[in-house]
Amino acid sequence: MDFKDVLKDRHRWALQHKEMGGLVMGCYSAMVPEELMWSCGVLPIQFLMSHGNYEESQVILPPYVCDCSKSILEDYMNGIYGYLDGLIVSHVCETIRGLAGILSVRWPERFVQVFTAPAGKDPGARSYLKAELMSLAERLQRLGAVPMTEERLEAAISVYNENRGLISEVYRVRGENPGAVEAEQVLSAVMSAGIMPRPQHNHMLREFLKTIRKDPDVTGTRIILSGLLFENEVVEGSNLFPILRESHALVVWDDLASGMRYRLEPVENSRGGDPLDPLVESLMGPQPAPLRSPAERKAGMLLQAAREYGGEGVIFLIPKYCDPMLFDIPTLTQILKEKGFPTLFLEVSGPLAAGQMRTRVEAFVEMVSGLSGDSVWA
Amino acid sequence: MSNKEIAQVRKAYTKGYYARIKEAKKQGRPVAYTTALGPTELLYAMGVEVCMPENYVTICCAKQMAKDFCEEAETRSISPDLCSYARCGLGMMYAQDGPMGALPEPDFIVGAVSACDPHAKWWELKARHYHVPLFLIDAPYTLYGKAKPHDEIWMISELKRLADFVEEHTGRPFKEDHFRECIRLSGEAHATFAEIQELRKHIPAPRGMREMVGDLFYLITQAGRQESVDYYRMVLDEIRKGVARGEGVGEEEKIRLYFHNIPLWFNLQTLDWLTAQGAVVAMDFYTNHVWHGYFFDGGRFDSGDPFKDLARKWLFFDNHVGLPVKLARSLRSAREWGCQGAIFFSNRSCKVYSIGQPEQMRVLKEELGISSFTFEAEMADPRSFSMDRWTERVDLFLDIIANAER
Repeated sequence: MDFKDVLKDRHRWALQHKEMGGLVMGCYSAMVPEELMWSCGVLPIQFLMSHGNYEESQVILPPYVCDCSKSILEDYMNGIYGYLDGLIVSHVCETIRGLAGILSVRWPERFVQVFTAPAGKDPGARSYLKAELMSLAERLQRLGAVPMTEERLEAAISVYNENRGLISEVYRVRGENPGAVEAEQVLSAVMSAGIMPRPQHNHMLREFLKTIRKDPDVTGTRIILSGLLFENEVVEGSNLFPILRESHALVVWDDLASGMRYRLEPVENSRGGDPLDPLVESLMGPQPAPLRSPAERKAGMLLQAAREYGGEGVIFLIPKYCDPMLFDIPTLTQILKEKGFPTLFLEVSGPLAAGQMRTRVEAFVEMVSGLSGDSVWA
Repeated sequence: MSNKEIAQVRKAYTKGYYARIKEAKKQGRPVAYTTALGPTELLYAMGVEVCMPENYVTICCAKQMAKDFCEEAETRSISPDLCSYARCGLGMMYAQDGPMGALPEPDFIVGAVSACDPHAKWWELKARHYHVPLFLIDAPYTLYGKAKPHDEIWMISELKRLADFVEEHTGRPFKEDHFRECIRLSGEAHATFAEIQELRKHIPAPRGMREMVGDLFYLITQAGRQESVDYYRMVLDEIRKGVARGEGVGEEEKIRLYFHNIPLWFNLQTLDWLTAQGAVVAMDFYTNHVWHGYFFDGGRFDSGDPFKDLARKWLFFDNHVGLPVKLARSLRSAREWGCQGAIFFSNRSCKVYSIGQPEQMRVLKEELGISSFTFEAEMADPRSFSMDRWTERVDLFLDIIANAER
């Protein structure tokens, strides 16, 4: 079974976990305390999203919200997530908070929490977050979860840290040998982390790393992707990747919500202290989500990755109506342009259409390979 | 004093307020740009002049200047899908212009990452443009409206962190007695505002949404100042007299409505048109549930700790509570103010207020039998709205309500 197969059969792991008596919690964004949930015997699964003809959700959500929220609500209303014991969404945008409110009203018997990981790193935020995590553990226990203990939390942190290390290794190997592994495979690997128990995922990642040839003889224009790609774009075949390949472009790194925006810094060792403390440190402060991090920081990350892996241009894939990402675009494009990195902005609504995108991506790659250094703005 | 005369008093004060900000800048006193949520009480206590670009946008809209500024921002890669407050405000910044000229440059900026996406990211763009420090207030979100003890403690911590930030960037020390006084004044202003809202229960309603959104200026920009208390006392006195005389906001009150969302600032005539049809907006979400949410729910500034009082006000802004609370507030507003119909403005520029509206409409119908009308537009972009089409549709809606009442 490879990672694409995992995504195709995306509910299998959650249902298995339920059969074994565990709880399953639907989550949105990596800024939720997955380690804490796992230590309580709860499997956190990330909502995977698909473009489609949203019908049920159109009655409840206004047309001017992103496809992410429409996709989650549509699946919820169609009973696809009927097995969930609840959901925990991180405050990464106002739309997801609003969606949590709708779900709490529509399914009042189900556990719903909007989790706020403070953007600051000060003592007040630290105390709040620790109290919030303890409160969450108690609430999960009332739902039937296993009580959180220091030992279980240490063990969960260890499993998740190993997972972060392996994902980082996949990114490093791909960055240094972009022809060795296709972008879809890397994204499938990260996305499947969100729906599988991490011990099994770690095993799959270790096997996956063994299969990557480290020295393929492939050359091309080195591209970084930033923004968001839906799961079905990756699994069922997006128009984007074949066009990139045909244009001799290689994805060397990404800053995708479904990719590298996963929280990849390891949680530090508690050194005999309370393991909640390093978990708190890991969750707070500037975050990969644009709402809780200045655009300059993201620009810095993109430039660092470009330097590290020889990135020559950035393609932004921004979902329509995603306000935090849209607000960042003028700053990001300006900073990157000042540093000589060309950018292409693609607003995404529904599946990426082949025709217009082909023209624009091909022109962009051609321009980048010619090192013209201009910004391409739509 | 008539409602029109009260409006003249407010307009003169508003003009003076913007002159005061410019004068402060000239005199070297610190000027802060803040989100419309404030917190003004803390900033005024520290001798900072508060300037709210969102409020300036509403004036821009009233003067029919918003379209040009929105377009100005859009030429600078600001997406037309983003909040029209932000687009118009950024357009004024880029053009260095506005309804009373360009706003003076800020010395620092206070945004709120907790409030909505633009309340964080718009201010980030401004801080970058002016090269000034930015402070973003964070806050917990209480989905069901029950703040846990650590929610309140963190909110207090955020406000104290802001006081430290202001001290650091202005050199002005925080003085608790000043802050205590500003909180006392703000509490009094809110309590008086609550009395005014109560009087809207009278039939005919002595004050409609058109008047109340004007009154709100003081609660937003002047909370913590004596002027806000004086204004609301004056309004309360005048309304009491009007109620005693049996005066309503319009000539005849046939239908009482509940209005949900921000008003169309570039077309407040929509509210006048309703009044002219005998349909009075007797209660509205915007003036009651946002800044005033904590007070609407029965809270008062009476803890004895000014930071705790202000923290509670912040925790119960509509922006910081979930749909279950929003539903309960809308139900109470429509029920207690005797509304027979509701207008829900689906605002493309404000997802935080608009997401969940269909659930509110459903509950109003199920629990109170109230029908709703909804329309889509943007509060600060006139390109999004057609008055003719709107009046045609609302007219039909009013007929439906009138027929149902017979």
